[in-house]
Amino acid sequence: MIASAPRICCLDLDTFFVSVERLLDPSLIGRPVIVGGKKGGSGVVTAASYEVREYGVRSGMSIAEATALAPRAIFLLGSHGVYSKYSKKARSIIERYSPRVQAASIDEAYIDFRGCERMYHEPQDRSNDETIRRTVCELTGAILMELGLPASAGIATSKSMAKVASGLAKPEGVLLVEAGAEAATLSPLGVRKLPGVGPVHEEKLVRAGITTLGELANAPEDLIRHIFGAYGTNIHLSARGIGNADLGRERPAFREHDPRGQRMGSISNERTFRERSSRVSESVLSSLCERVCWRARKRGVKARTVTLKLRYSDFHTLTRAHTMAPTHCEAKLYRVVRTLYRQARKKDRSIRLLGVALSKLCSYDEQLVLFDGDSEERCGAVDSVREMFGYDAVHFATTMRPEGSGPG
Amino acid sequence: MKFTCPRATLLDPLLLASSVAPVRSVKPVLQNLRLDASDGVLEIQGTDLETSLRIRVQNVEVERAGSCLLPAAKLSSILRELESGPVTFDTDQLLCRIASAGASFRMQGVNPEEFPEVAGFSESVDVQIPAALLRKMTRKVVFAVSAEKTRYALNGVLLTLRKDSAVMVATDGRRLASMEAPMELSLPDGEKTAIVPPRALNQLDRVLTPEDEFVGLSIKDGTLLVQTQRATIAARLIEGKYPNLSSIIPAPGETKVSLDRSELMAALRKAAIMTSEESKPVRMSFSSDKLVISARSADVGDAEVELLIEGPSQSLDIGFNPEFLLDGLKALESDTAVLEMAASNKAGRLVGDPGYVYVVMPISLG
Repeated sequence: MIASAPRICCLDLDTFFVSVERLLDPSLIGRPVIVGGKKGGSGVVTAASYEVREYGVRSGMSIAEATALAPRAIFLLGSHGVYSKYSKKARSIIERYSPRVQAASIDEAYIDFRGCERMYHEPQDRSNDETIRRTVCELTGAILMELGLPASAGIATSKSMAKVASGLAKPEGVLLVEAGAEAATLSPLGVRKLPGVGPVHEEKLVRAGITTLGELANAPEDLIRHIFGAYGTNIHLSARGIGNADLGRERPAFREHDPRGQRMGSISNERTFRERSSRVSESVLSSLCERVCWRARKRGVKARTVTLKLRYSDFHTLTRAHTMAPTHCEAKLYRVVRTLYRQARKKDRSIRLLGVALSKLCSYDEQLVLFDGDSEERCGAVDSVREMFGYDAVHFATTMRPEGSGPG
Repeated sequence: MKFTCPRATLLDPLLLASSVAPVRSVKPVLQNLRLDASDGVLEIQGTDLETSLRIRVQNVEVERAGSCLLPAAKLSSILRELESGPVTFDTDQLLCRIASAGASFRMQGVNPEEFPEVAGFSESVDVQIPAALLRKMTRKVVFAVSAEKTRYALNGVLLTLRKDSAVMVATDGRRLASMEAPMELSLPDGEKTAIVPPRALNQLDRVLTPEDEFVGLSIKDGTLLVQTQRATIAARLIEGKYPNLSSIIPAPGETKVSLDRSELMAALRKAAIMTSEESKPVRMSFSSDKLVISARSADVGDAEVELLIEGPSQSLDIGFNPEFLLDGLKALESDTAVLEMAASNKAGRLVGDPGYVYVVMPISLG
């Protein structure tokens, strides 16, 4: 249901390891610091303060090289446990601003602000861009205030553009690249600024006479494909500011496979559990209804028949079926299933298994609505939330009851 | 109480009053009709406490004034079966004797005091609305009222009375019918709104006679009072919040097509034969010179109906529930129906009669 343009923010904690070391030992502030190993020892530079960068020291360089370039720098081994603690703290601050966060590394995260414009809008904002830029400034401000860590951020319509923008914003800056301005922003930059272009590629590009991203964007696609191989097309698009804005999911939304349009057979789920109180069963039923309906919607079908399966602790098993107007809406199905359950449950004995099956499946064309109201329409909203945040992101309150065995 | 009246005069009012009385009720007294006879007039009352009807029968020969309370179902069965001719009602205490040529019945009644007093029947009305117009408005919108109980406010017709117009709107969330009629109403500034149960409006439609030029209306204390020459209807209004209409009724779309209303209806009915419960929509494909209406159901078959039209500037493929379109087309009176559409996933508008808009949401064709 997200209507606005993609607004991806790439947030980078500036010289993260060095910044954390300076929090632990403030005497390091303003002095040249290299994290990664003992002076002259083995290992690689994992972080270099801006003071040593002037000497040409870069992350990824060997400590030996760095020692030669900046012999008077302070060399630190680094303490990764502490870094990851700060990284987690930063993440929890980021999550206050948007629920869609993807950690790219210990000091870098992508945040999707798409659709957040109205939520963060302030009267003085002249545009949605301004709202988001101001919000990201608040976010980097909060990280600095609460953790003492400087951060930079780039905001753009794709991940790769946001990443480049965050590099341009350093140190401690926020840069928003407006939709449409991507190519112009990238054009004068050196090819290495683009994520995915390494030193080997750079060398090949220079040999082909390409030094800036503008030249890369205008180069023939065959050449780019020759240099970058399979992902040449993506690089070519990225150089023009076109890229992926999907953060992906950190966990799969759903494990069961329901091929779309498949009308054969049935859709069923059952659960074995221990019935500690009578409310547990209704909670399990509501969770099963949610599950089968979600699967039916994934298949793009509605069901005309629902069957309840009930097994008592003495293994006596019974099933009850009901035929209804075709539905794939859990709110409607649960009402039917609960009635079936209440009528079917006769024995004064605990239940060990409940199952809900949908059958007589049929496809349907979706009647659009003038306004949201009916329970059927709410299903669409439930599905979009689950698509983004995983299956367990939203449930019936009945399913969520603390006495219940929980969703699953 | 004793009165005599021709069966023909009595039958219609009696059936109208019994249609209000509930078939089953936790208050059994409501299954009765109250009859009051005096001064040449018989008054019949029925109520289910939601909708109440009081209807007067003139020119009754009243021999002995009085009241009685008789079972509605039995009473209407008797009247229906009697031959034409005079019918006499004669009560002795609670027992009532109903006699006509060749047949007589005795029925045990209930104490008339037990019948509930209907609030509002004694009130005066606020405005007078031309009866024909009110009836027309009702017929043009009432079918779009929602039958689902999930959203209570949609189970009624939104009636808005202003100084210079009256508006009726009904919607079930998939289609919406709105009729605005200009009229001078003796109302203070501002507007009065009420969500009226469709039952009350249908009752009104039935009680109106050609003699009714105006209908008196008043909205007070959650009750709508309607007065015609022979009847008074009191209906409890539906409480709830009606959706904001300004955000629902769309502006006319770019794609406009004028069609012969009866031709379009015939074409839709033909195509609709091949729809099914699983596959409800008809596909309407508009091109520069024709409209092709088609339907396809996996287990049934398919249909294709072609209409020559003066087509829109751009072609459009859109799916609709044919029943929804037919409802709207039936409500139109003009020979030409204008269908205004924006896109295959945007609301379509059906217009043609002054003040009338019928909005239908399409079905997205999978």
